[in-house]
Amino acid sequence: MKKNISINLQGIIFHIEEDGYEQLSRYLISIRSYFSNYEGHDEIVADIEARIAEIFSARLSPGKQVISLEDVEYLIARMGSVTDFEVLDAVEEEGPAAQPGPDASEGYGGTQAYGAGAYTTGPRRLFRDVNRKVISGVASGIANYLNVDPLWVRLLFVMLVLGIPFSHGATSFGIILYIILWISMPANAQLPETTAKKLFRDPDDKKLAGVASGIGKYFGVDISVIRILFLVSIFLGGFGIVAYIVLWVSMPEAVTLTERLQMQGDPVTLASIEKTLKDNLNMKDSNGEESAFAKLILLPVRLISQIFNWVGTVLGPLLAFLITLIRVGAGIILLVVSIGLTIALFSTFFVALGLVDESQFLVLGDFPASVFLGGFPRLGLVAGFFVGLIPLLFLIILAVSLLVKRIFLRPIVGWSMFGVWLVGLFTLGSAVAMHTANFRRTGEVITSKTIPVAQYGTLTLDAYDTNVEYDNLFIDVRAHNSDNVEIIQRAEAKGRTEAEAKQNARMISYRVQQQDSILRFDNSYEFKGNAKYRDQELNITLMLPQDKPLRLTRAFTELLPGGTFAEDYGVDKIVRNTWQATGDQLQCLTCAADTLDTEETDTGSFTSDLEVLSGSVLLDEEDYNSNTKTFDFTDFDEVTVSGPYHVQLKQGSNYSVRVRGEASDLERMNVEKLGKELRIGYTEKTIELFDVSDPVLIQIVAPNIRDIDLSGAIKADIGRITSGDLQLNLAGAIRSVADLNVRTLKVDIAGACISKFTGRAENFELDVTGAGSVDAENLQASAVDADVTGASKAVIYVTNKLRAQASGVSQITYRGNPSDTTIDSSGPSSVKRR
Amino acid sequence: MKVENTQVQMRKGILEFCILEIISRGEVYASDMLEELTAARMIVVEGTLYPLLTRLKNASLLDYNWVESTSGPPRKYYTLTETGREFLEQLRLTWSDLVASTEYIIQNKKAQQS
Repeated sequence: MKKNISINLQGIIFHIEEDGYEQLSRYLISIRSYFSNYEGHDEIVADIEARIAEIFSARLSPGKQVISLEDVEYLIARMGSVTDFEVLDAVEEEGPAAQPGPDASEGYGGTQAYGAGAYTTGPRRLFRDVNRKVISGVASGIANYLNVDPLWVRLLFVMLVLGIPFSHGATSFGIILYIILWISMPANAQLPETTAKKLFRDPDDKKLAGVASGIGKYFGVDISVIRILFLVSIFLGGFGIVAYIVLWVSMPEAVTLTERLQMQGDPVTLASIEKTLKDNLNMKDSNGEESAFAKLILLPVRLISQIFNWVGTVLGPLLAFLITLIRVGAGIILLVVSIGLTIALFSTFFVALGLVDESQFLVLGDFPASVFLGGFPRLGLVAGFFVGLIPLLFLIILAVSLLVKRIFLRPIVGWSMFGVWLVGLFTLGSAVAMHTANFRRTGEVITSKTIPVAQYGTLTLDAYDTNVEYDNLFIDVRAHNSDNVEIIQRAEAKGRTEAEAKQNARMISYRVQQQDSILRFDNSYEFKGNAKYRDQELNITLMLPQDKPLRLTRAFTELLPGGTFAEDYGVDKIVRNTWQATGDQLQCLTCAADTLDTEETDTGSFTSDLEVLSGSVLLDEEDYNSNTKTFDFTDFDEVTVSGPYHVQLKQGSNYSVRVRGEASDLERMNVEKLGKELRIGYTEKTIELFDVSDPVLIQIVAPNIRDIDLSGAIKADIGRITSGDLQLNLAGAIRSVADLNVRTLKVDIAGACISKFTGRAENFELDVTGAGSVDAENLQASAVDADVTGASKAVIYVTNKLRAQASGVSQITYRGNPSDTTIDSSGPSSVKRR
Repeated sequence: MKVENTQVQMRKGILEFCILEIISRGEVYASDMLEELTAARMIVVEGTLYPLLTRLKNASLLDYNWVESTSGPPRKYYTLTETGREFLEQLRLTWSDLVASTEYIIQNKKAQQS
């Protein structure tokens, strides 16, 4: 019994006996290394292997299935061993040695035999290779000239056209270059096949399309390395995905045996490095053993190969899984996105065709799709639809292909789709060209509306939000000598003729509503039904009686173009004051008396920094749980609350303590009275930060309150409290509003509290540390002593005496005109008046 | 100076001539070429043919087409290029000259002997 080994010679399988295999293997290695410094050694060896396969095939018969040692020996005798070849070479080397020249030093056994340029083939010429063309054979011609794989030249062109290396302009450059070359290079159908190695996708060892495997084969690198490189490059801005798709499209699949042969490069594996080193350094000592030096040199190579083997076995499955994951993930994402876009395309199409009624929800750019696409030629719409649809279909096919690892798109279908797309693009182009005729003439329609306003003292100008935003509508303001307000609308549009343009301009609908002294202007124009987009524009001029006092709303100011006001006023100031039209500007009537921001016009910068609480911090009463618990505590003037509660504190004639919330939350509450102090807290030591249950509301009414102490995450609404002295301590993350009327107010704030104070106080002592934000702009105080540290901000209103101390990066802003001020700010902190 | 070397060298130049001659008749498959050359005793071991073919092809004298084979690996069918044809033409002239010259010298020798 003999053991058989199956070998593959140029794609044909042979079963060979073990001793025969060893003999053959040695023989092939010797041949390979013998020819290794010949030009085209791969080809020579491949030819010889093919011949061996042929000889072997001839020696097999139905009765003899296995190649034996004798067959191998017969083969070697017939093909000749390296010694037989050496005789030939020894002769060759005598020739050129006699006439040393530059050629002799090249060392290629192959060329030396003919001496210096024995073959005068003439200079090579650049032809278009029409035999292996894709478009016109330019790329393959260049490749033939340079003796490289045409794929590289094609990729270069694709890159020039896509403009990956350059952002702009390269596209046209690549196309122009190609056309110039197409014209200037003569065609030649006789060009030989290049001997260069070719890049093919490998169908045998593929994860996705065989790109990585093909590249690996080409460069003789391990596939895992290429796959890792692809994976890594995905994270470099998705470059890997683009590169993969480009390569997928441009690399042909190795289908025939020949192509599979051309696909394989000279493998640069570690084993081959080792072999080359051994062969070239002549590292075997006299008795055929490796010398110590050889072992030393080869050690790192062997070590690395061991490590690679190990890493390969460990990471291989993981990598395969990761690749599958990315493939499926990318497929799903692509599928969802492309289907979504397809649906959007279909709905746009139907709306545009008028099959689906006007939908305000669908907006193209700034305009509703039906308006924008209305009046566009039907054919153009259909063409545009296909121009959009085909790439989307392609994306869907690609996505499905990614998911099932098989390309569904047959070339014939693909090219047909591309053809339809081109036709569609062309038709769309013509339709757009035709459509532009609809924009040839300009028409203008002026309408004017007069509103008598003589009976009103002051006019209020307001804006109505139409919820559409096609265009920035501006209202020009002019004064005129009349008692009436006149609104002049100048609508402009394009059309095929002037009459048509005017008709299109009339499709603009714009309203001004009057409600007594209030004039309300739409903030945008709208289109009437079945309007067509013809570049409509609307200008509005508002003629106002010369000396009519005007109030402007915030929304209305947004409709005023720049330059309407003589000076730069803040919006708040505009809204606060009264105006009058003079010439084509608005003049302020009351600004002289407005002291709020005479000096600094950009007060907005501060208030926007300050977190301002507006309205109540609490929810509406009915939003709290209806489960209520009442406590009969009386005779307290101090309130201490800690925990995550909402607190409502009011002054009233008698005492009342109520809590509202879920029963479980109320159970965990601890309400007690210690002396004159009402204390409410949490019974459990741990506060559940992520408690999503309904907030608990604590409602406290007391006739007299001296001391309020809040800590934790409390929202507090402190109703109007009138008192002699009031001490307020806030710590933690408290949001509070307080309306007070006290003689001496002491406020101590620590942490990230946001608090707002209104009312009045004789003496106001404010102490803020941490990142507090205090809005006491509307708490009128006669004397203020403010001490603000950390990153806190405070706005105060002081009329008489101010002592302000800011440190850290704190800011104190005060309003009012105190006669006695002591200001102390250090570092980047500031105390400013406004 | 070994006699084998001279023999090999003589045969080698002529071998290339013979290969070009065979190919000049039309598309030829390397193995068919081998049979003819072996039968004519122009080559001893088949392995020597392939480097020669590759070299001739690299020198643009030959070209080949791949033809898929039903019974084995794809086959290379060689043809002469235009350059190859001119080259062969010159070799033919040289060959007839050589034959004439050699004949002449050998004849002279015979004449002297007789």
